[in-house]
Parts: sequence; structure tokens; C-alpha cells
Amino acid sequence: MNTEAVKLAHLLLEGDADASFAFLCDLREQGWPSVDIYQRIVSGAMQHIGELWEQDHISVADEHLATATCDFMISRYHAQTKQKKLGHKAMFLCVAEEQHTLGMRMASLLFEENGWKTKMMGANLPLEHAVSAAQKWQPDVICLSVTILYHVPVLKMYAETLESLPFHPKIMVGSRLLSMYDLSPYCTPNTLFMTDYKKLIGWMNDQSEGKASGAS
Amino acid sequence: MGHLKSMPLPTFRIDRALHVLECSDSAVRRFGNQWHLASIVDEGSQRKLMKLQEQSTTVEMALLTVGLKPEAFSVSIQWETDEAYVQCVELDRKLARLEQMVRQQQQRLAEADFQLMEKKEEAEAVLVKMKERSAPLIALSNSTALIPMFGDLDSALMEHTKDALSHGFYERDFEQLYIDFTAVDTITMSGIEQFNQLVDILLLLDASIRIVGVKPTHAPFLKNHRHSGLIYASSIQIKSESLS
Ligand code: B12
Repeated sequence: MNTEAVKLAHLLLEGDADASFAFLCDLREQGWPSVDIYQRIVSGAMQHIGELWEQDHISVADEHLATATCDFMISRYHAQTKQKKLGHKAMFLCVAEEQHTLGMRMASLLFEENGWKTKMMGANLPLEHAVSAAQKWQPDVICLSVTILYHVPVLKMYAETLESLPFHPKIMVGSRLLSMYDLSPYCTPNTLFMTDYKKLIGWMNDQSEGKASGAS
Repeated sequence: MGHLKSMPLPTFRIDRALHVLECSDSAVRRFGNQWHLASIVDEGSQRKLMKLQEQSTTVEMALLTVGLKPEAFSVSIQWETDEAYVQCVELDRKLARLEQMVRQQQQRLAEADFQLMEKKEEAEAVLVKMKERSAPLIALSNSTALIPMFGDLDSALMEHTKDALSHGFYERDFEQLYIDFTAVDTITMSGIEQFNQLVDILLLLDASIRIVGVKPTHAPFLKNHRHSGLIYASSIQIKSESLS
């Protein structure tokens, strides 16, 4: 774990909203792009917090405080970034029971920074709600996030149902599990898999250059 | 051990190898029938299980409840030689709810903050536009121009118009310029200083400048900051031959 991520983890665990925000601003001033800040620093900090919990150094209550502080920090950070407007639409949701939202939150902020319109449907979204929201808003891409291994089986139903909507949205799945497991049996052949934000940015750049979007 | 079965909290009696020797009905309801404690412990909590195996203590763990739903519990263990009692207390969800509400509140405040910031920026942009339009350069004839000034003659007005005015005057080859103060409200120090800088530039461009429409309230200001190259006139006079 890089030292910046560990430093940020401690600020988040203290619930220090101002210092953690200032920490990100400093990195940006040093020339860090958002994608690296989100991937290496913020994700890294949250992972470190997970390790501290595994080692019994912190409690779930600490984790909650850190998450709330993190959420607030990235909102403030994002409000200061420049956003170009293009008009593609992306919708975000966690599958049923899934409460881990930070990964897709930061993905949505990167989408916005790259000119996309976004709709955040949040944690634990029942498939019916996802379907009706998608039909109303007609996004180009629907992003699903899953963190807990036991929530993977429902993924298939989500991917298949949403992909077969009449306006043919692209289905994207982001998950920490992708680095350990092959989730393709739980998705559709056209599903895009995003292990990290660098890959996401690469894909978005391809999109805006009008290249084919099939490869995952 | 008759009491164990009816314990309200999920309770297990285990051996050193973590085999379940006995458990409460509440444990079966929550975790199903289990013969080994490790089978209800989530992978991320296995390290803590080793700790439980070694000492009497309390730790937080993710346990797999029926339907393979991982949930957070506070797990306490008490060893008596080779056997131990284990009790599992679900972590309070109320705390999580409170947490979520605080977060939503915080988020809303932040959003209000961002919106205010955006509105402020919009308002500032409008103000700049307004200022830019508060001193237009109007051609009265080929050689004569008029700048009617509107609103407060302050540094903001001058900053947003000074360059465009001198530029326009030069580009369009005017000779004579009327600056009309009729619609000027108040004059500020820094405003008049910058106004005089504009006059300096225009004089360098050979302009003959006349100020009209001065009100009594402006007079003290103009008197203290009187520019030697300025002529005060009572009305605008255009040479008839140069009318365009
Ligand atoms: C913070 C946290 C929580 C918070 C979540 C709050 C929130 N709003 O997100 C709270 C406290 C609520 C929580 C609850 C629980 N958690 Co928790 N939690 C974590 C922790 C520490 C960090 C997660 C995180 O935010 N990471 C940072 C983000 C950015 O990473 P990420 O989500 O993996 O995203 C990356 C990629 O996957 C990808 N990505 C993800 N989504 C998307 C979407 C798109 C579109 C794209 C492009 C990319 C993308 O992008 C990111 C790039 O880095 C992890 C530890 C860990 N190692 O992950 C445990 C962890 C995930 N939790 C765990 C557990 C067990 C739980 C609980 C069961 C018990 C508990 N601790 O309270 C509950 C269950 C809740 C539920 N039903 O979902 C386990 C899961 C184990 C498993 N079996 O899968 C972990 C691994 C901890 C552990 N070691 O035991 N948790």
C-alpha cells in the first residue's frame, strides 16, 4: 500500500472531513489526475481500512465513519473538477443486498468528468426498480457493482434483463471480485468488465473516438 | 447444559478444533445447522477466528447467516480448558441508520453549498456582462462618438470597459468624444482614478474629450480628481457637416 493511501486512511478514520479534502486537493495541485487519485489513493485507503478491520484494529463503526467521510470528501473534490458536456448517459446501481457503493460512486464521478450524464440509483436496488428507471431514462450504459461474493449469482438476472431492454443499453460490471474470479458465467457475452478506473478511462476515450466498444 | 438450547442470543459450545458440540435454537434459526464454527465465518474474518481459537475475547466478525448472507456480529468467546462458549450479538443496525441519515444530511448541505457556489459564479458572470454594457461606444457621426455611462462609476465598471473603449475609439478613427454622466449614480475613488487612466490613453490617441451631464453630486469628485485634458460641456454639439 502506498504511503499516501495509508495517510488518507487515517484521516478518514478520524472523520476529518477538512483534512482529507485538503489532502486530495494537494495531490491535485501536484498534478495527480482524478483517475489516479480515485484508484491509487482513495480506493487504496479504503482497502487499507478493510485490512485494519480484518486485523481487528478497528471496528465496523470506524468503517462507517470512514465511509461517510470518504463519500463527503469525494463529493467536495468532484465539485471542483472541470466537466466537459457530451451527453452520453450512464446509470449506476448495486445489485440486491449489496451495500458497497463507493466503487461505483467514484466511477460515476469519472464518467461525469468525461462529459457523461449520470444517474446514481444507489445500493441494494431491486431489479424491477432498475428496469423501470432504465426505461424512463434510457441510458447508453448501465453500470452494475457487486462487492460481496455471495451477491454474484443475482448478477446474471440483472445483466440479462437490462441488456434485453428495447433500447439495448451496454452493460458494465465493476467489482473488486474481478481480480480474483471470472464473473463472465454470471453475465452476458457483451458485458464489459471493469477491474479498475484506468481501464474505465481507456474505454471512455475509445468511445469518444468512436471506436468499437465490444472488447472487455 | 440444558440452558444453552434456549439462549436468546445465538450461542455455541465448541472444542479446541472449533467443532460445534452444542448450540442454541436461536443459533440454528440464524445460521442453520452447523458442525464446525469456521463454516459460518466469512473469508475476511477467518484471521479473527484464529484469534478466537487461542484466547477468551470479543471480536467483530462477518458471519454467514442462513441464505449465505454475510452480516456483522460481535462475537464473544469464553474458554474453560478445552471447551468454550461462543455468543454472537448482531451489530446494531440502528447505528448504521443514524450514520446514513447524518451522511444524507451532510450531502444535502454540500449540494446546497455547490449550488450556491454555482449561482454565485453565474451572478458574477451576469454582473460582468452588465458592466460591459454599461459604457457602450456609440458613433454619432464619422468623427464623433458618445459614451453614455450607466450606474456606478466604480473600478468594476472601468475594469470591464476601459480596454474595449480605447480600442474601439482607436479602431474607428474618431476624433471627438462625448462622455455622458447623466445616468451615473455614484462615483468611487478607484473608479475615477481608472477613469482618468482611460482619459490619458484617449488623449494619447488625440481625442478631444468633452464631459456632459455632470450632476451636482458628481461635482466634488470630479473637482478633486480633475483631469487637465478634459473639457466640461453643457450639451452635445455635432458639426453638421460631419453627420453620417
Ligand atoms: C467500506 C466497507 C464497508 C462499508 C460500505 C459503505 C459504502 N457505502 O460503500 C460498510 C461498513 C457499510 C460495509 C458493510 C459490510 N461489509 Co464491507 N467493506 C468495506 C471495505 C473496508 C471497503 C470497500 C470500499 O469502499 N472500497 C473502495 C472501493 C473504491 O473499492 P471497490 O468497491 O472494490 O471498487 C473498485 C473496483 O471494484 C471497481 N468498481 C467497483 N464498482 C464499480 C463500478 C463501475 C461502474 C466501475 C467502472 C468500477 C467499479 O472500481 C474500484 C477501483 O478501485 C471493504 C474492504 C475491501 N477490501 O474492499 C469491506 C468488505 C467489502 N466488506 C465486507 C463485509 C463482510 C461487510 C459486511 C457483511 C459486514 C460489515 N463489515 O459490516 C457488511 C455487508 C454490507 C452489504 N450487505 O453489502 C467484506 C466482504 C467479504 C466478502 N465475503 O465478499 C470486505 C472485503 C471486508 C473484509 N475483508 O471482510 N462495508
